[in-house]
Amino acid sequence: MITFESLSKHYGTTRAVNQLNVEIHPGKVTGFLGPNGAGKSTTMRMILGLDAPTSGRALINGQRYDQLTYPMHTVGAHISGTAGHPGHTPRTFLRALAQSNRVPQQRVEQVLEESGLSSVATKRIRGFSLGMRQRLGISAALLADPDILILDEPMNGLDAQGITWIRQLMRNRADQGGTVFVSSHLMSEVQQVADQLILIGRGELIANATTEQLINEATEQVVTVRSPHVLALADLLTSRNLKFRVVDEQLIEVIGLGLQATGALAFANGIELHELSAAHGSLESAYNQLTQESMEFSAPSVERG
Amino acid sequence: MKTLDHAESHSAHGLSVQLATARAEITKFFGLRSLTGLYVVGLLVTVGLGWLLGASAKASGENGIDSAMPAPLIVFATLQFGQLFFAAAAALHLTGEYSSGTLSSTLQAVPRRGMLAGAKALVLGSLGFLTGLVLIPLETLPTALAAGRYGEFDASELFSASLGAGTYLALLSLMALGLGLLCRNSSGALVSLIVLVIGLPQILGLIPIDWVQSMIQYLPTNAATFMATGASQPYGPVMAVVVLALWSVILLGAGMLMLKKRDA
Repeated sequence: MITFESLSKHYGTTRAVNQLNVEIHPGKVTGFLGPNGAGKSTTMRMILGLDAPTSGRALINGQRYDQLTYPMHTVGAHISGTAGHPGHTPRTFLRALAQSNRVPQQRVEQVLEESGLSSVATKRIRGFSLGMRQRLGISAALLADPDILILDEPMNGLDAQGITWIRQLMRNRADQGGTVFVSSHLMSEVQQVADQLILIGRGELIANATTEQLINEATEQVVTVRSPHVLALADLLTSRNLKFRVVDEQLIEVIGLGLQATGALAFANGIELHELSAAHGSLESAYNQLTQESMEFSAPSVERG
Repeated sequence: MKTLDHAESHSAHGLSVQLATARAEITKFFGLRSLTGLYVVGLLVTVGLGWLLGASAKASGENGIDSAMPAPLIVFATLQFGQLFFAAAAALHLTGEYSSGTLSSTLQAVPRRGMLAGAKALVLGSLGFLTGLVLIPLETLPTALAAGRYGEFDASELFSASLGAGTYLALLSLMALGLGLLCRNSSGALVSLIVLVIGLPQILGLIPIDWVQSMIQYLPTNAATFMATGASQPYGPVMAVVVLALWSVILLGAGMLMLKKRDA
């Protein structure tokens, strides 16, 4: 289990991570989602003791990471862009890691095989593609067969076969009782495999719920309304402090009001409607909706209200 | 999937962890052609230079210029140049991990940073010591042949020069590691290293102030010379070792503090 207790990281006045209180449980794949710059990597680095929290703690089974002896036996982690010196071969890189944590050397060959890197085991990492580096980083995480896996954007640069491999790997680990914590900035990458989703934006927790809950909650709130009097409806919603999004001059999305109340509101004010429907969005749209307000690098949007 | 008691069976004590970490550092050092290459070139260059200096001593002697010197000391003088290769390898062993981002992997495996720096110091220091110890006898043979009777020496001179070179290269490697930890990048570490062993003695030598001149005597390269030659002025070999050790302790200590304090 991984526990965040009021975990915060501030750089000057920037709050990269702010007051996270979360438990990540075994037996599940927990997705860690947020736009670029939301604080995902910083959070993961704090779990591993690479970055020190400004306040609060991140604990592994109740212990700080640096209190673990031979930590790779407990936690296997891959942080993007950190696997190996360019002049080393994958075998040297993994062999040194194995030695440092007293992992039997035959595990090196096993994880090379598992990650599909056996054929390049004696090539220098310098010439590797992003996908091959990802595979190497993931194989390092698996080296000591840990109970807890922490993977930072593991699908970046992987081909379709690689993505299938990593998804199956995460699923199997969780099914066998392991803790899997995987970050991504793309909902589509994790929605198939994650049981639990933790959403952050600008370092703040936005949501922590099961994948199913999140889809339901987020999508039932959006009602699509087609009407020739979109602006009249918009004024009405504004006067009642309700949120909405004008899609075009015929189409408006009402947020947080629900199907019945939206219809009733339009009827009571004599506004002609051509369509009134709940948007059955994917998790993707739920995610976009949830993170929109907390986008660090948000593009201008047409949302008002 | 591994069971919990497997993990607990690994709750070994500090020394065991330290040795495991050191073993990994040895693997990483010898896995890099750039570092082993620096060592090989360093060895070749100093051996060649020793032969040249030996031949030069003989030529001078035959022309009536008294430049006779025990061959092991001629060889020690070649370290003025050769030291850079060995020290650079020590610095790059660390800073290569910063520039490639792999320090994060290393710290995941060994989160106790003092332990990691200690293992690196142990490996790089031992490597430096062995190099000095082997280099001097190895190099003395061609140098002595080239110098002929102008390079005559006895066993104790060979022994103290070898021990001196080993001690110096070990402590210099620790200084280089310290500079690497302070600079956190290769170019900074190499430049500061060159300034320390070559730049400072020359630059300070240009300043005609008494206390500056006496300060030069305490720079690492000067201390190394006093140690190897067994001089008594301005201070003897024991004091020289103390001066060198102080340099390493200060630089490595400051570097370790930086490693502990900063985010990786």
